[in-house]
Amino acid sequence: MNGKNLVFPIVIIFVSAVFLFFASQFPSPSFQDSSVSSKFFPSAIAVIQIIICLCLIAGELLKRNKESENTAVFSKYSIFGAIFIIGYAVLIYLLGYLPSTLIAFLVYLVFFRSKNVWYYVTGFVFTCVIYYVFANVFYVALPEGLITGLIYD
Amino acid sequence: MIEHLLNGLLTALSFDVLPILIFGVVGGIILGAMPGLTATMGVAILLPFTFGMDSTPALVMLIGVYIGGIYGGSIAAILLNTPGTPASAASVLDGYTLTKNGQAARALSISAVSSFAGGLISTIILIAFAPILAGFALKFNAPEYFALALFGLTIISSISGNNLLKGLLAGTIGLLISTIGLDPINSVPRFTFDVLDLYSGINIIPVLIGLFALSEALSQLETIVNDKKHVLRSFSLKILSKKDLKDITPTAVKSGVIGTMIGSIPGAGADISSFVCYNEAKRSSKNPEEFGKGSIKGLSAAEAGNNGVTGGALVPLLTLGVPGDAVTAVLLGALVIQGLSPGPLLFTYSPDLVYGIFSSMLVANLVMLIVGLIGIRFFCKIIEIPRMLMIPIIMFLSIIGAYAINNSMFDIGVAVFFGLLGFTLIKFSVPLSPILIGMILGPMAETNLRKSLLLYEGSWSFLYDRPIALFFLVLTAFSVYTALRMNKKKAQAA
Repeated sequence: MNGKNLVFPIVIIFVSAVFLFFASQFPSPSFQDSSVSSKFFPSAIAVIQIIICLCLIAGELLKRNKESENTAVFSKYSIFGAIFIIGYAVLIYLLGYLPSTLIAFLVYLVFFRSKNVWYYVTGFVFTCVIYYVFANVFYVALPEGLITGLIYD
Repeated sequence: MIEHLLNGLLTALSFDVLPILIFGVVGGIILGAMPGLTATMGVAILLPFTFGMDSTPALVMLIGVYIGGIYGGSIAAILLNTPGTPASAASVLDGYTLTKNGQAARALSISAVSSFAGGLISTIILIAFAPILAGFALKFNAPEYFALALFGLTIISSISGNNLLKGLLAGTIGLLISTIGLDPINSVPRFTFDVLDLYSGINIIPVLIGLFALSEALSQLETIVNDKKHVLRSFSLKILSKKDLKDITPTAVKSGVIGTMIGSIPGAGADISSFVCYNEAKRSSKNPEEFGKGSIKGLSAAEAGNNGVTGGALVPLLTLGVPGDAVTAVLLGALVIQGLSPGPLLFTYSPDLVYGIFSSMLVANLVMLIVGLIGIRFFCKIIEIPRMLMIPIIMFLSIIGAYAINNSMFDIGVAVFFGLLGFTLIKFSVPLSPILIGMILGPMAETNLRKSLLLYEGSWSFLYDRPIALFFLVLTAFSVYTALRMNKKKAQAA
């Protein structure tokens, strides 16, 4: 039995139950021509999801060989990656594409203790080229950023 | 048809479109050649570059990425014994043996020629059969589309990998997400929590960018610390000979046809096709003992087989609006972004675009052959690009790509959420493609079921009254039965 294989379906059951609860609150239209309303699909899917999760849990509990995995599910690098992505998303919201990408690239290379100067140069060139290509070739505006926008205004 | 096709060829070869196509093919080859980066990821990453383009060049570029990506996967397989994409796993068997014998250039050129043959045959079959199927699909109404969506959802069982239950769970996650927003019939807000951005539902593009690019980049991040620098063996630059070409042609043609047939079956992708073609080539060979020991026919079968899928997989997408696998699901997203809805009406209302896609596939295969043969020395260098540098680039492109669809910070949040969700699901061995299939087919199933019920005044008789709907329902039942049987066999074998 592996603990992580139990946690996951339990979390999904909880999420499905939340969806099921909210689905039951959907208003029904005053006229209804068919037996299937706006509640039907989300409710049916949430119920199916719960059944699948229960099957997964039962399957896991019935496993006879008691293998125990002590290894962590997420390594420190993946945790860094997750924080890095969220941080970059926040940074891009505040500072816009250009400064946030340059900062993020730098943070990334410093975290991995890269001493290769070419990596830093590549990061800088990539950021600027993408900015130029999106703005002048594809005419797609990249985020300006809340703070940067205020400064420009 | 011929007129549209010629117009499409002229467009694909025009100065406006050809450089974009070449960029797409080369970009696809580069991404596909890097171990761990798949053709699906390639199309997802390069999708944002098409937002500012007209529909034809945009789709032409993505088709180029798709075709280039499938071929590119074989480069790492042949040179490093590491398939760049799952579709290239069969190419390792003979391709790497040839590299060990100092014949890497010969192996890569055989791969390019066979991929070209497979892709070309596949495109020709697509051109011949897609309009016929689209014509037939014009007879479809809500009940037929509901039954078709139901059948499409059974794809989940064949793309679920080793655990059918986890695949189904992923499918229901996609289906549930697809219900967020205004209900398609009564416009009742569902799971919107008064957030304005949620009223129009969750946009599929940031979801797929998160699931297939961000989550994959996060997974790769865990392994780059132990990355070793790839050192290539020295090899002769001699490419395939006339005799090689003569030897592989029948195998490549046969594998191209088989690959197309497999590709047109929803759920059966390039990885299955390459192994089926390899096994068929081995079975019908006079010297089966040579397979696995550097057989050029074995390599050719695997390569023609996986590229043969490219045209086949577009048959259900373009004619019925049902994606057969993850990469065609991404292409469906690209079509939607361009304001087009795949399905039989696409052939009626946008024949120029459809035949433009067909023609660009012909040209893309030719470009892939030329680039593949000329660039052998260059592509050997690609695999030396450090992943440490590629991963942040993928992450940044993913985030700005998600933003660029609607210039929306909300979409960045969606991409990041699904990137993290996808990464977590990978950790729990839950396949990601069913989420996308669920998200695409969920609204199709719900809308058409409810329309059918309104049409039949609440009666469910449309399920057996209408022959085409009944046919798809029987197919659905058969597909579920086959999946359960396969799953049982797998469990017994394990």
